[in-house]
Amino acid sequence: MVDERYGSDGLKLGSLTDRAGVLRRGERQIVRDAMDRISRKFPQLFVAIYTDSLGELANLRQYGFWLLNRSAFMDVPAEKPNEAGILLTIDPETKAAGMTFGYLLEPYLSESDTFECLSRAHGHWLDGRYPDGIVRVLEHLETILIKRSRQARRDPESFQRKVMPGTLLGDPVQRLREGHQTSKKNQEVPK
Amino acid sequence: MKRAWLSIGILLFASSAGAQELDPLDVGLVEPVALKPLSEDLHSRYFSEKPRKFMSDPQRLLNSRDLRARNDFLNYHSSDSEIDLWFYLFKGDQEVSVKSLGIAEKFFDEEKPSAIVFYYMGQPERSELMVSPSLEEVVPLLERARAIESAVQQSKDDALVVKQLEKFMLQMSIRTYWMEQSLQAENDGILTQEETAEAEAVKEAQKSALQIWWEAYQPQFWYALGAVVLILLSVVLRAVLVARAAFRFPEIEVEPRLGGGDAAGVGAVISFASASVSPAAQRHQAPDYLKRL
Repeated sequence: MVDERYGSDGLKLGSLTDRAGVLRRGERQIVRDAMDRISRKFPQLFVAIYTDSLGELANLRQYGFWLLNRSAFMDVPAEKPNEAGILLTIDPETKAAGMTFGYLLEPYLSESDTFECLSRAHGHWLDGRYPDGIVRVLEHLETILIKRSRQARRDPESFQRKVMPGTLLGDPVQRLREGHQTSKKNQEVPK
Repeated sequence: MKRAWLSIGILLFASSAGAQELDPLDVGLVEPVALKPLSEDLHSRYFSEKPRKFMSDPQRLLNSRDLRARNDFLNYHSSDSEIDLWFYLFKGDQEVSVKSLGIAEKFFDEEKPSAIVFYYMGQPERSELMVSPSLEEVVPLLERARAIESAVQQSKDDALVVKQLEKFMLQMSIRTYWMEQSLQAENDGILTQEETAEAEAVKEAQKSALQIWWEAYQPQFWYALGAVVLILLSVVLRAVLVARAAFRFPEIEVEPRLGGGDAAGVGAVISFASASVSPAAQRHQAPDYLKRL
């Protein structure tokens, strides 16, 4: 469905694509440094930033979802698939920004987390300071990812349970019966 | 000062005259006789108390005039010297055990140093010299022996017993000058030490409170500084390690969603179109992409 809207052909992009032209030359390097820092801290992951005036036709959430699935980021190493990516999409025309992340981070990041990251940039983007806002987003993202990495090291199963499909948890009816029998045993009067 | 130059002159003259090994038989004295120990009565008269005059002659070996002259000489010497001269006169055939008496420590351990001579009339070569305790370490035995030897040499120039004593005493007076020099050198060293101590005391009093504190707590200060440095280093090291640390995520199988091959982690969207719409107001977000679709 999303392909119907935006196309099924893949895009070849750089990890930092500023089609909207919100970043000056010196500012690009600042943003690039912040992106590289994420890559160093989290060797499995990469960050991609895309700015464009999408207009009213585009829904930012949809577009980000489509972009991360359909784009080939030319400067990202091959050992980092898109499922290890975090895409920040900024539309300076509608003044909206969204964040999308790959399946690798599905157990570890939530919408609330990404909202917290974007909130850090709100004041900067209001004033048109796009690079500052982007750096703040990535800084907060780093903090969250460090925390989640440590938590996953201590208790990986808790994150597995978050994303485990219902079928893998077992037959729900069977589970209910087992629970009922357990409670019945507890109610029996000891002889 | 004049006396010093005179003494030096006499000494040099005496030295230039040629030193001869003293032969007691050449002194021009009576031939050696059997020695008699001092009677107890005489012992008591000599050594029961400290002599009242520099010349001690309980046996009246000198007539009153000579005794007075000798005492005057010794008084004059005392007024001009840092070291008093005391003479005990004995007969030539008397024998006194000097060392067993211990009179130097008993009677002459006073502020002004003393040289005490046991003089045997007519037998100056038997004379014995003692010094007060304050001079014991300052005037070496060799110097004392030289003093006696020199005085004996001078005394043999005269055959008269009284004249021998006179010349002996004169030479001893001259020899005490050298003892004074030794004493002065010792005192200068002591004074220097005292001056240094006094200067250090003044310096100590002038120390500021900070200096006093520093001297009292210097070891503790260095320990504390070392601890602070260690803590700072550990903080810096930790920061460096944290900065260089890399974090990984366990790969967990996730069911594909919406046909997305790589991504379905749909995050938040925020609007920054208006300052009046704060992020807090946008917190509860409804996934509208499904609606659109």
